[in-house]
Amino acid sequence: MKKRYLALGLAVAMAVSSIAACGSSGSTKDTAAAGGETQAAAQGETQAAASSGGEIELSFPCIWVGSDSKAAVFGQMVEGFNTEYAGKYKVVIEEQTDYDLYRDKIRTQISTGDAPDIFTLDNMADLTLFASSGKLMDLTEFLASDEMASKFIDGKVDAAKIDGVNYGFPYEDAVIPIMYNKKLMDAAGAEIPTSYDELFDACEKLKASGVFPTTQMTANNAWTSMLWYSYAVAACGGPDAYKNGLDDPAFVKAAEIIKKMFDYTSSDAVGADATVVNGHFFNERAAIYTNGAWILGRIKSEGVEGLYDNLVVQPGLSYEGKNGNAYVNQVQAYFAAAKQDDPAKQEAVEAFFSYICDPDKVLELANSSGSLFAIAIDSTKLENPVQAEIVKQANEADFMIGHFQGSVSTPVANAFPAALEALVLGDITPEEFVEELKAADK
Amino acid sequence: MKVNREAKIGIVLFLLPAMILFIAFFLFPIFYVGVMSLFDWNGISEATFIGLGNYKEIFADRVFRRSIRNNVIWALAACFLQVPMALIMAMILSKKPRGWKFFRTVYFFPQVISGIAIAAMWSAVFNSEFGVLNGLLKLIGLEKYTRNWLGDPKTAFICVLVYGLFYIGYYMVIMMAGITGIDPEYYEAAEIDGASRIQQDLHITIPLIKYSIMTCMTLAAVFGLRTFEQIFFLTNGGPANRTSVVVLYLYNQMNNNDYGGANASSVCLIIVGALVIVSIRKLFTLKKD
Repeated sequence: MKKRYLALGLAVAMAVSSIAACGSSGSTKDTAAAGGETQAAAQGETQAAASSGGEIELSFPCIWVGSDSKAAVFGQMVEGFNTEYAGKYKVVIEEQTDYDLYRDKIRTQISTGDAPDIFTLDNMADLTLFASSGKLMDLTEFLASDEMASKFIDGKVDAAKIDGVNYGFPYEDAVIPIMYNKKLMDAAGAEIPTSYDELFDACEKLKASGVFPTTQMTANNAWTSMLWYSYAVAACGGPDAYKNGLDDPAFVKAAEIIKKMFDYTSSDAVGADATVVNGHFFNERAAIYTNGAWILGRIKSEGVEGLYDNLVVQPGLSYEGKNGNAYVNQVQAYFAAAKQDDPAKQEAVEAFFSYICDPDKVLELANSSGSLFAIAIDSTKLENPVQAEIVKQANEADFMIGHFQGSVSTPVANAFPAALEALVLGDITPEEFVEELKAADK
Repeated sequence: MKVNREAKIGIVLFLLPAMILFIAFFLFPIFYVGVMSLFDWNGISEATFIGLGNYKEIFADRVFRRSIRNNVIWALAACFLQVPMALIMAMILSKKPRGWKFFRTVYFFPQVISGIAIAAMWSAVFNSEFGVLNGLLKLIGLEKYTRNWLGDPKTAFICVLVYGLFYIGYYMVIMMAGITGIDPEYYEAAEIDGASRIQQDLHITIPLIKYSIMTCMTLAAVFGLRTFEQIFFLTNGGPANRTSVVVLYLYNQMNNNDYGGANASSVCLIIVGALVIVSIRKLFTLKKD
């Protein structure tokens, strides 16, 4: 009998251990730590090479690779740096094509004390979290130097400070316009709206003409719908909407707006991801869309013929006669670096940061990708007229406001897609929608 | 049979490497997960001991309770739909009808195809705008039944379950191996006694492959409890967490930097898993006891 129970116990342990492996962050940490030792040894060798005057290698897991719109020119920038500093510094790119995996990798590496020499991240919440590990390089002094300070748009570097310290700096700065397909709008007899009332009038006409008025999605981070919600929050709450947190009534009003917008979208919106949303707009099945300026390159290359020429970009809409002409923007990529014991390696990191922040190089990157940056470039030299128009409108906007995802904590941002689904499916009211988001923010 | 001292030492020495690996890579991580589930930990900063705080939090969360319920439904569907389907197919194909090798390959095929590819295929089937299913319904005049299958709370979970049920090949092969081991004389004797094919299956095949069925049910329950990729790729737990499962829930907790909560969810999953496995074994050994 004892033997039977022993066998039973072992069978259970073996079977459930396969389940446990899924949730074992501890084991991941241990494995990563083991790997970390090997990498630490490699880093030690690099440091030894540095102190003996050899070439210093900097590891850089980079997301701007493959089909990314910035891949080609950013790759050339890195090559240019390696050529200019040949024999002294070398940046080694580790290609990262899956952003979720990349985020996990960076988080694991930092928690195990093995942060990459250079890396990017897409929100202040992560930068703050990683900075709390004490393993990030303090860039305050470097960024405050005359040479570096003059390269950035005023206030951008200061906005990235945590308790007065720059553990990172903003690089890609997303400006997010609302985009209209003028051809479809004209065909439906709809005018470009300036308020939400006008928007819903236009949506009625577009719906009657047989196209999806807007594009919405709820999968992954519900990106484009999150941007629509951000615009609604801006319209309902003005520039200080996020100051009072989710207690501001603007969030409930904005929930009513976004719920109504789902009446004017494709039937596959609940559960749709960015591919579906882009597919609808790029193929002229939908007339109104919002996304960052970086998507312009893809609209040009992947959109149906003539779509790019029919594109009209506009700032946000007003709500009850207030808060129109706003622009949603957000830093899309911060650069950060691992704390270095070797001053020579820190100099190498700073040299690289200085190189990639060169305004002429960034202008080339902006022209090639359609993206915009926190670096002060001469916007009159932007070759893409739509991109230049976005910059012009953004400069003339009544106010700029961050998008929802970047303005709330990570758990709230992660709770948004499911709460949005519950809202549009009628499971919860707009008030309950906001309560659900608040509940996520423990 | 008596085992002498030298043989005992040999047995221990042979078992030792596997035992060490088992302890290091399975038992210790489980223990570690259990310990860390008592801490508030964001994966970066120092962990803080909070006792059962993480458990209180996850049990107060409606999404966690729904995830556990979905996992149990998934495991039950796997045990009582997938395994019987596999058993029927195994019994039919073991009689080697014409084309049995072809069908054996076809049923096993989903096991060797990437889950992502299959999820993409099912997404295309269920899509409301361009999906095959809605297209078919429109074609036969049933347009009023078209819907966003994966986005509708009434149908989303059923759709992901249907997708999961196609993975019967693995269990079918295990049971076919069991059937192959049955002495043909039993069937010959039954035939002489006038037993029909169905009677032979009910009274000879099924009782003699009882332990193969138990193995399949245990595996099906475990696979059901640790379901992740199908849900992740097909619905990501939506709509409104209707199809969420515990592994997805703990994955989301890790995305929220709530590693303590994720470990507490893991412990709950381990306990549910252990209960299900023990229950299945008990079910099959009850008669014998």
